[in-house]
Amino acid sequence: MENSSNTDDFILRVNNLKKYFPVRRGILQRVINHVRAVDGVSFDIKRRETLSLVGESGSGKSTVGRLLARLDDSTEGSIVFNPGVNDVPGYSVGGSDITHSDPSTTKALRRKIQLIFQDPYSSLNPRMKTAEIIGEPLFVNGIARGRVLYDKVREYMSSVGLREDQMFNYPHEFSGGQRQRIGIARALIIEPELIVADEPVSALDSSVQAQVLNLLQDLQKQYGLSFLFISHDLSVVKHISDRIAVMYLGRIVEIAETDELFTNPKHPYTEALISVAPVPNPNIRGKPVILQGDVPSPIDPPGGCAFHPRCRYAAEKCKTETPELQGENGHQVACHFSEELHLQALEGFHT
Amino acid sequence: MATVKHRSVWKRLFSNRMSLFGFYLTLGIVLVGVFAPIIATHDPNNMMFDSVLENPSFEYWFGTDSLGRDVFSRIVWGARTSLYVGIVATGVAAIIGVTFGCLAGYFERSFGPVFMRLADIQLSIPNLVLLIVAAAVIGNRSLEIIALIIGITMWPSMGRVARSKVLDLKTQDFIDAARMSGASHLRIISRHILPNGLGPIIVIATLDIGAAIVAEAGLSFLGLGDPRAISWGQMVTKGIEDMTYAPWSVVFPGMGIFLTVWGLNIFGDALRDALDVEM
Repeated sequence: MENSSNTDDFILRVNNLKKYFPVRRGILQRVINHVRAVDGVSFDIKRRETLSLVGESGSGKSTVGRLLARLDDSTEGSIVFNPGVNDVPGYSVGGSDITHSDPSTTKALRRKIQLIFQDPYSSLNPRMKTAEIIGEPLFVNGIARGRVLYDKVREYMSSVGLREDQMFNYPHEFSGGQRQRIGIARALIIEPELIVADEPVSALDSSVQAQVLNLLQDLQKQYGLSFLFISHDLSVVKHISDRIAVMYLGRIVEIAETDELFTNPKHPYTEALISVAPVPNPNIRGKPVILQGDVPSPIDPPGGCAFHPRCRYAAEKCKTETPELQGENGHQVACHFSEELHLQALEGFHT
Repeated sequence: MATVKHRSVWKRLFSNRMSLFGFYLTLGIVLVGVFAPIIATHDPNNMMFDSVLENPSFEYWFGTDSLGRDVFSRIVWGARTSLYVGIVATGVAAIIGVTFGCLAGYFERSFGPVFMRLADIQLSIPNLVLLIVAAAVIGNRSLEIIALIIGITMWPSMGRVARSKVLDLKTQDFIDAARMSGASHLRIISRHILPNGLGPIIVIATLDIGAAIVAEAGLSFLGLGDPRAISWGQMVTKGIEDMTYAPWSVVFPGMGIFLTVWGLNIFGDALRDALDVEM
């Protein structure tokens, strides 16, 4: 980006982000408790980097994505977009906290941050034609109308691998993979800088998954995008991520560069996730670490380290003290015993 | 899958004999109403005092009433009145109901409770009582005013359907996608929610036309209709006195009401099935 003469090369900085959903009961709808979907998450994303957020369902990873896109209001914490850029012309957003931005700032923000949805079926309006769906961001922001709009739509349809003559077809005439491409084109057409991809391939067949993942990587290079890639599947994010953050019950338990995370996991939860990720070599069989029980309720998370009831290394200390996320060289982990444990890495990991 | 649905709506609507019957019945009544001046054999208001309460014959198909007016011609013109009131009343109910319902569903926290209480108040008053009071208070009892009053009594059901449909649609990802695009609330409601929620509203509207026709007939029966209009309800009232020796003056207008409302109900049910609407 031409404007970033600034040395700061981060596009996003998230600090202590929290999202509590109120639980209401009774006729008076009194708030009796909170679901701690996101409970103090901090990370940053560099320009042109892909950061992946991995975790089980209920870990709060999708909520983080929605908070970044301002589809939900966060309870606490800050999100700073373009932290190094301050009031540079052309950047109506940047440098300041956006968690409670006013509607016009939010609208400006959404020209810079776009979302790719998980479900290619419910994310496209069944009553709109492809060209209207893809062109809507340009249309409602008053950037292009008429012929110019259609030319732009054609350009992006071909760059996501759709045929231009399909632009007046309705969504139901496309396959799941094609529909996801429509969603990707819609996210890209406004030329955002950061894409939040919320499980963009988990609803697709594995052969189509690979195509869409490759497409996302190509588009990232072509348009110089930064990605926050949300997934429950380590094997999906392994090839496309620069860094991976593992979430458990609303917190990041480990964050590291991709190679480092796979070869030297330091959190027992990461170990368990890695051990069950499929490896494309039938001769390699690691010992799968099968976790006992379910994810505890985020309404009433366990005290101490939230992972202790399911952790096979848990000690007395884990039940009382909450470990902080700490570490060096960009490898941070939230575990009391991260230095003592020798955890199983991914066998046969090649990059 | 929602994908195959669109093309076959018409096919499914007409694949069933009952729905075809409902459709043709409704279509028939509408055609009678539209072409009333051509179809009617006599002037419906012309009183022929030399032929009072005549039996049905080739000259007077459905007989004549106590003032010597041709019952068949009055029924034909009455179809126009009934449809007019039914459609205008439903239009009023749809405009109020869909507007309130959309706002209540979309702005769930702020406007939702207000809407629900308004609808509750409206529903707690029996419609007939409200209609009688309103018709009595408003001196000018033209068909338009009557349709308007009926429409106002019917808005809560339309509003509730619209609201629940909006609540359902609001959770769909494409609404979030529209928000991400920067679309305004108005655009999201009009371009993303309404076109997808039209199915149940059309079904309710079809059924409401029938209900409005019955309401108008009821008001006219009670003598609260437009005195100048040719209305089936009024014909029934007038005919009751002579029912023992001239049953045609009651039976035929009654049949008119029955067939119209029946046809609309069958057609509405068929539409509901064809559009696959959950109510």
